[in-house]
Amino acid sequence: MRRELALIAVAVAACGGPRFLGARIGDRCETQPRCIAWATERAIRVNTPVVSDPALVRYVTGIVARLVERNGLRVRPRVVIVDGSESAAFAIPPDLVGFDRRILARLDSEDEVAAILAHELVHLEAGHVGWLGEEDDDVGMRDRESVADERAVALLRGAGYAPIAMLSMLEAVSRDDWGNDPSHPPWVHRLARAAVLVADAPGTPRHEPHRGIVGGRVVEHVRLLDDGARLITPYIVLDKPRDLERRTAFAAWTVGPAVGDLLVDRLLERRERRVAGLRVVIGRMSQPPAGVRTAVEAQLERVIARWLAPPEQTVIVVRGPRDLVLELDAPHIGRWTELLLAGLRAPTAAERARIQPLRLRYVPAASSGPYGEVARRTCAHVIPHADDPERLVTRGEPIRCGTRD
Amino acid sequence: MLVVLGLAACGPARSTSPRGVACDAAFEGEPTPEGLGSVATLIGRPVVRVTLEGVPEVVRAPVTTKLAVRAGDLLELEEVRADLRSLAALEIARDVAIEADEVEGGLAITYRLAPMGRLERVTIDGLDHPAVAELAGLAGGLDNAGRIERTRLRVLERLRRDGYLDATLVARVRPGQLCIAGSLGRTYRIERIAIEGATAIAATEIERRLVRRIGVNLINGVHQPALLEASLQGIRDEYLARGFLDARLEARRPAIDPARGTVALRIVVTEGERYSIARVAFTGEPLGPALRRPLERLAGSTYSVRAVQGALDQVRRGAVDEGLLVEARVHSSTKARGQVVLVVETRAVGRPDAP
Repeated sequence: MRRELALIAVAVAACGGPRFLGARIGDRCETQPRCIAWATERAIRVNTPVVSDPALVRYVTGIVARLVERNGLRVRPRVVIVDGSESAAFAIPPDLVGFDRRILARLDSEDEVAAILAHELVHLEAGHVGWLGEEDDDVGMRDRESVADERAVALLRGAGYAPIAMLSMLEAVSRDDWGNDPSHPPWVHRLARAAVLVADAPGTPRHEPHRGIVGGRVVEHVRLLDDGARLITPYIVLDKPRDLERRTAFAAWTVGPAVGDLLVDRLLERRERRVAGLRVVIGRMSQPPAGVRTAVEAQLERVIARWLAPPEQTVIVVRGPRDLVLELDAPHIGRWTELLLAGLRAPTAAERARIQPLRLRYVPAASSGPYGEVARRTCAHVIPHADDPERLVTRGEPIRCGTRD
Repeated sequence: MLVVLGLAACGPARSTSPRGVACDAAFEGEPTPEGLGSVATLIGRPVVRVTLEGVPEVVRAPVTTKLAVRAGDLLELEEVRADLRSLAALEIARDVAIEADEVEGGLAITYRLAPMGRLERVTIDGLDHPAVAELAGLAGGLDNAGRIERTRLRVLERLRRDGYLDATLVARVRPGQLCIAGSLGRTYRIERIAIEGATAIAATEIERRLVRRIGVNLINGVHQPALLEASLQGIRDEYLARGFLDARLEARRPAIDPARGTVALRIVVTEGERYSIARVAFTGEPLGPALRRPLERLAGSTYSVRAVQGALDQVRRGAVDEGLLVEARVHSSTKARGQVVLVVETRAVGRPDAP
């Protein structure tokens, strides 16, 4: 939700040859708003990885379509999902809405996803961007951002989403480094205005997982060790439906072979600023009571069987009565993004506190840059504390690897 | 209890369509001691507590912590003013008032925010232009008088820059509804164009480039200020490419003939000096000789944006393999007697953040 006009300025420099994707374009972009928009979109697609995950694209496109159709909007937007842009979402005139996949990790419900998208739709609908030669004035941009926040509440209501999701979305995004920009009103102001608009009919966001698919989100938690190395545990948090019995039974598999490194490297490169200071989130492996399986675990088995080819195996870790933590080999996280749909919820502090590391990856600091060799060591079994195996690993505490008898 | 001030939270714009709220009234506005009335007599008294009313619960704590008037302090006029300004800046209240009650030990201060209404609907009459969509986009939002006025002015400016030099736009607010009315008026044909001050690039060449950029016949075409400005910027880039770093092209106010519906344009070119690169200075991380060479070769040549960009691109391709980012700029303090110093800055990428 950043300065789209700045993107346009970048795009003018990027405006190149006469054809792109089959469209014939004049050899000068500066005086043609459509060409500027084309060049902006091109620059984004060239410089930012585009996510083609069909389930995720369907999910996000479906939310946009619902917002448009139920509110009778005249815009007919296209949607692009990216991974690693500077903004959680953006709008490029006349009809493109961009959405960064990483923001899913911060959001708790489809309603919050709809809140972000509704904000961008307002920018397109109201023609906030794309006027030739217009002064890039902070006051004007802040006005447009506040209008987008406020009108988005109305769009949420019109589409049957909970208006209060605008509030919780703003709170979630403001925790991250996508916040605070002079072209946007201060976060407190945005929250205050949204709160006023939702006060009389806030609605209730839904967390139900999508039919047939277990919902959750991908996160990675990183701890900085004393020698500057990073300890990374990629995992997925999954939601159980609220009416599920509070059982801890689950199906467990043994840990598979050592993982590949590419995805982890990319996480380091793109997420260095984000990951610093995050505490380790850890999971516990345990055995199920014999013969006890829940509907969710059975569903999960079917999903795993469908998406993961043998002999790779996965450990499912129970984190609490409402969540499962699924720790995967890193390459499989890409496939699992296809399953990130409704029912997203962050683990609570209490739930996080109950779990321990199962598999950790140790990355020496000197080789954590994008151009160096990354040496890694995988601890198959972690002993968090010599005297107390049940004690949790906490921030700053060293770990050691060993073998379990 | 003393009600001391109702401050209209209108924002700085002046309204041409007043709605019963004096938007001009000094919101910019520094409540004067007279305006603050009786609170002026309470200055210097101890404050026992400060309460906010009309601020949503979700932001009450962060807003309260930012207040200048605090329990335990003495009441100060400047702090009251600062608080009124900052609460009005939330833009959730149609006015902000301060009340002071005598309590045991001093004063109980209450800031009371009267809520803004909501614009359920926006109706637009007499205007068929895409720019007006920005006013329609106010529907569903807060009835924020200052923002409505700023938006009105912005849309009006867009209309005029699009060639509707006589456009009018009026905004009126009724409870829950914003009514927009106006007219686009006529557009004006360009009858003639005069280009003054051009020598390095001939006036006829500038005119030819303008025609090519704008894409229509310049003479007898519709005058669109935004399009003209964008085109002039493109021609300025041409001057930059030729070393004229200070070149400016300005479209002066056109001579308008309402009877004939025409304008006469006058473009003034100030070319300034033509610069050459005296030397290239390297700072930051060291660059190897092979990487430095394309930029070093620029020394002594006429400054050309294209040449600098080309050399920079060449250097960057090699530098990225070494984990280096390279930027180049002209240091304005080095511009003298037609010469500049090109400063090349190199830094390493991929350094982990400090914990």
